[in-house]
Order: sequence, then structure tokens, then C-alpha cells
Amino acid sequence: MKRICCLITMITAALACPAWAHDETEELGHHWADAVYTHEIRLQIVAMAVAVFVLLLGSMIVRRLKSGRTTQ
Amino acid sequence: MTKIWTIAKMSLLENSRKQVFHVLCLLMLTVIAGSVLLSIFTDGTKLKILKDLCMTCILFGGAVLAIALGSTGIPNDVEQRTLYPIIARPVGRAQYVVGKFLGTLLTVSMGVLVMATVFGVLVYSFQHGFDKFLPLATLFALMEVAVIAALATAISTIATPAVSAVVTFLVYICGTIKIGYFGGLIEQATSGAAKAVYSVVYHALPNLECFNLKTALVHSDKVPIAYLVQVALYGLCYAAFVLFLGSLNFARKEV
Amino acid sequence: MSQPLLTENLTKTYQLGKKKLPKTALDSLNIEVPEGIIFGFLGPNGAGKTTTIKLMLDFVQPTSGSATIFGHPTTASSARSLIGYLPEQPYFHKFLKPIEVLSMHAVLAGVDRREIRKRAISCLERAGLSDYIETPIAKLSKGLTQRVGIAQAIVGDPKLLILDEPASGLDPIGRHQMRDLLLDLKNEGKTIFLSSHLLSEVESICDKVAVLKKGKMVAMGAPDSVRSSSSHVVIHTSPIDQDMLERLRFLNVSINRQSDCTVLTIDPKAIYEVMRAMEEIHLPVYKIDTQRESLEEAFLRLAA
Repeated sequence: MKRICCLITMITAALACPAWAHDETEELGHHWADAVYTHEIRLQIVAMAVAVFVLLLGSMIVRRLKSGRTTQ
Repeated sequence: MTKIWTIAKMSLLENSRKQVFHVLCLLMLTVIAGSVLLSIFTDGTKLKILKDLCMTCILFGGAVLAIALGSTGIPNDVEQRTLYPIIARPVGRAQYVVGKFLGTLLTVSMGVLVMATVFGVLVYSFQHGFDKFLPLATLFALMEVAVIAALATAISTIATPAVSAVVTFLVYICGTIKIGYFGGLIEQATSGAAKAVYSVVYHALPNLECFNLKTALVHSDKVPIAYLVQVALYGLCYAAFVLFLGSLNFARKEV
Repeated sequence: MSQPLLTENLTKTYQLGKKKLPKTALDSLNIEVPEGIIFGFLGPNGAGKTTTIKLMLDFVQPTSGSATIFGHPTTASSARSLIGYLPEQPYFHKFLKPIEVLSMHAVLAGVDRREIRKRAISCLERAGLSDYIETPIAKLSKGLTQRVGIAQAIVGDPKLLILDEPASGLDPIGRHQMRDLLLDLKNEGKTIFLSSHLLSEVESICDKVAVLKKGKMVAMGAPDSVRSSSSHVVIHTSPIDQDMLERLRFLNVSINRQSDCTVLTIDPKAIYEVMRAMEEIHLPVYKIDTQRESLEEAFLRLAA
């Protein structure tokens, strides 16, 4: 298992070489000037807030249903 | 909070004794110190290469440390049964997960701060002045470390240390090339299903590149404060969200 | 006040593999532990003792049934604030010193910050570790580490102590000290739930015992009530030859031939008949005694 994991890690690291090399350094590095980054950040924050809300709401409903069953 | 801090302190003491921590810190420090040999270049380029190399070391070294320590903390406690007397106390499982995460973060922060200090000293000796942007770049590198440590900790609640280390490393790589690579894949995808899969992966992956202020440090660029605030908030939210999911899973886990 | 420990039809099944049938580790366990007693929990390996303890501490969730600690469900953190737990083989980080382990557990147990060190030292002293307060765990023997585990179990001043094999790894002196400590704790009003294989220890200090076999409870009550009420008569006589042996066998006598004597165990009702037979074959009586079933014998009868 450990060997397989090490192998996957090495292959992934090798495949990701272009990312480390930063062939297009100027374009990749100046992310603050790219609207895609800001948009993605905001979208993910909203998505996480929604997910937390749904999870909490879901668990609350399940708990109510369970306690309702016990009372009956 | 006292209980979380106590667990974090134990985790810090445990992690700081691990061989992997010492080896990786020494390796990164050797690379940072070895960058002095680059003095064969002209003054301007030398400083740029020094900053580029040292910042890469801090970012990569911090990430690898966070993965190595974060993915082993909880499984080791379960395996060695040091977990039992702790969770037999009035300590929530979520408090335990957060404590372990904080312990990992503090340990990696120690290593990153030592690297940053050596880096700062080198920059000072090269440019005969302090680089005011360096602490900010280091702080954002630590935020990236926090996100990766949270990911590793959360994944380790469901997987073995080896698997969680590999999965976290994959997420780290994919998160680093997310916008450039996965964004392109969505655009190129012809079938609807492939587009949907790429989109889900794209939006679920952390946006790790935004914590990387290496280019700004190397080229002495100015980064808008509003953007930095957004990124900091994003880092906190992502780490908290991932820990929330990890805690949710660990709360129901049979140990 | 609610019972320190109460389980109602507590059941736990484990799915060991997708194709395998689920294994019942615990089957409808009903236990009631009254306040201020030492409760012995007995059973052979794999009987479900550790599973029961894990269910009480919310390490695993029950398949069905419930358990409460002083009226609090085991899932509630308030239940765990009333418990002190000693695992079967306590493991602590090797680099820590006993005082550090206890200080950490005192914080987790919610002990007042100003009292932590004082409480930790007093618990270590009670566990007989006065000379090892500052010695790293890595340098302590198994028995001494076990004592650290005992000290950490009592550091939070819990009302209920759940001890899984507390005498494991202790030498005879340590076991004696442990027995005294448990009796002291009982006198202080604490309830002790003790899982142990050392039946003589359990017999001497427990007020109530339960015997578990393959996940089911086969007996519960005072040690006296668990043991068989019938007693035997034991006669020590001289070594016997084959003819004598054949003669006695007809009388339903259990014969234990030893190098220097023979031990005959008989039903009290058959004593006159056996004595008559012994007289006929000229067997002397060295010693005659009555013997009641020990807890160990009862355990073997119930759980084997």
C-alpha cells in the first residue's frame, strides 16, 4: 500500500511539473489582477456557507423527526 | 477553548519530536542557505532568484510538512490508543479534531517561521535593507499551510495515514493549478457530463494559488488590500469548512 | 439521584465483512449499578466486556438499546464529566512526564486551573508514584505506567470509575496497594465499575458482580449469590491403589490422586456411605473439610 501511495505521489508530482516551472510566470503569478480568482473565491465562500446551512438544517430536521418518533 | 488549547499543545509537542519534521526543516533550510551560492549572477537577478527560490521552499516545504504531520496525527492517536483517555473526558470530538489541527498548524508555523527568518536575513544581507513585503508573503504562505493542514486532518478521519497523505497531496497539486488547468478543461469539454464533472471538481478544490504572493515579492508589485482581505477570509472559511466536515465524520466514527 | 450506570437491552453487532454475517458482540445487556459499590464485570476473552465499556464511554454506538450514566445518556458530554476511565493498557506519549500527563487530564476534566498541580501531585502520590513524578513515561516500567493510568482516572475526582483490568502489570505489592486504593475510593462514596480477570481480587472487594458469556449476561448479583449454594465435603486420605479406586468410584466420588495423598470430593449426603467404604478398605482420614464453590469455580462453570 505504502509503495503504491509513493508511486502515485511521484507520478502526480512529475505531472505537476509545469505548475512548479511557472512557464507563464507573469500571467500565473499576478492572480490579484485576474477577475477569475476573485470571482471563484467569492463563489466558494457563498457555496460553503450554503452547504453549512443545509447540513445544519438537515441535522436539525432529522433530530426533530427522531425525537418525535420517540415521543410517539 | 482551554481544552482545545491543551490538545493543541500536546499535538505540538508530539509533532515537533517527529523525525519527518526535523528532516524536512533541515532540507528546506539547506536549500534556502544554499541559495547564497547563486551570487554568480548579477545583483538584480541574484536577488530575484533568491526570493523566488526561498519563497518556493517556504510554500512547498510548509505544504509538505502540513501534509506529513496533518495526515498522521489522528490515525496515530487511534492506533496507539492515546486517544482513549482523552475522548473519555468531557471533550467533544470536534474539539479534539480542532485541537489536533491547531497543533499541526503551530508545528508547521514554527518550521515556516524559522525558514522565513533565515530568508529574511539573507535578503537583508543582499539588499542591505529589510523587505517589508516578506512578512505578508509569509503570513499568506501560513494561510495556505492552514488550509492544507485542515484538509489533511479532515481526510485522516476517514483514511489511513498513507492514503490521506497521498489524497491531500493530490488536492494540493490540483488546488495549485486549479484556475489555469481545470478552468481550461471545462472550456474544452464537449460533452455535458464531462463539463459537469470538471465543474464540480473545479469548485470543490481549494484555490491555493491565491495565497502565493511570490511574484509580488520578487517583482515588488503592489497587491490590493481588498483582495488580500478576501483571500484571508477565504482561507479561514475553507479551513473551517473542511474541519467542520472532518469533525462531523469523526463524531460518528467508532474508535 | 439516578443510578450511576444503567443499561437497557444494550446490543452491539459488528459487520466484519460485506459477505460475512454480522457478529453480535453484546446481546440485550441489562445492568444496574447502584451508587457507592464496587461492581465486578467478569467474562472470558471476547465475551463483550471491552465493548460494553466502549459503549458506556461513547467510543462506539449501540445497535439498539441504551445506557445512561447518572441519568445522562452516554452520548452527552455531561455523562463523561462524571467518569474516570482507565483503559486496559494505558498508553501515553512517551516523552511526557507523569505530572504533565496528569496536568493535561486535569485540564480536560475541567479541574480549576489553580488546583491542577496540587491535584495532579496528590493523585500521583495516591497511586504510589511519589518518586516518579518527573520521570518521562518512556523510562517507566509497565506496572508504573499502569499506575499513571490509575492516577489519571482519579484526577478529575469522578463519581464513577470505569477500570479495565486495573491490576494488569502490577506486582503483588502493587495489587495490594490497588485493592486498598479501590476500597478507599469506595469509602469516599465513589462507584467503581471493575472489569478484571483476577477473580480472587474481584471476590475480595466487589459488592456485586456480573458474568458475561459470548455477549450475554449469564449471572448477576452479590458474589455469594453467583457462587453455587451447595457445598462439598473434601476428605484427605492416604495414596490409594487400583482396587480401592474401583471400590470408591461406585459411590460417585471425585478422586484427585496426588503424590503424598488422595483428595476425595463428595456430596454431603453421601458422607456416611463413603466413610463406611473407607473403613472397609482401611483408608485413614487425614483431614475432613467442607468446601463452597469459589468465584473462580463459579466463573468456570458459568463462562467456560
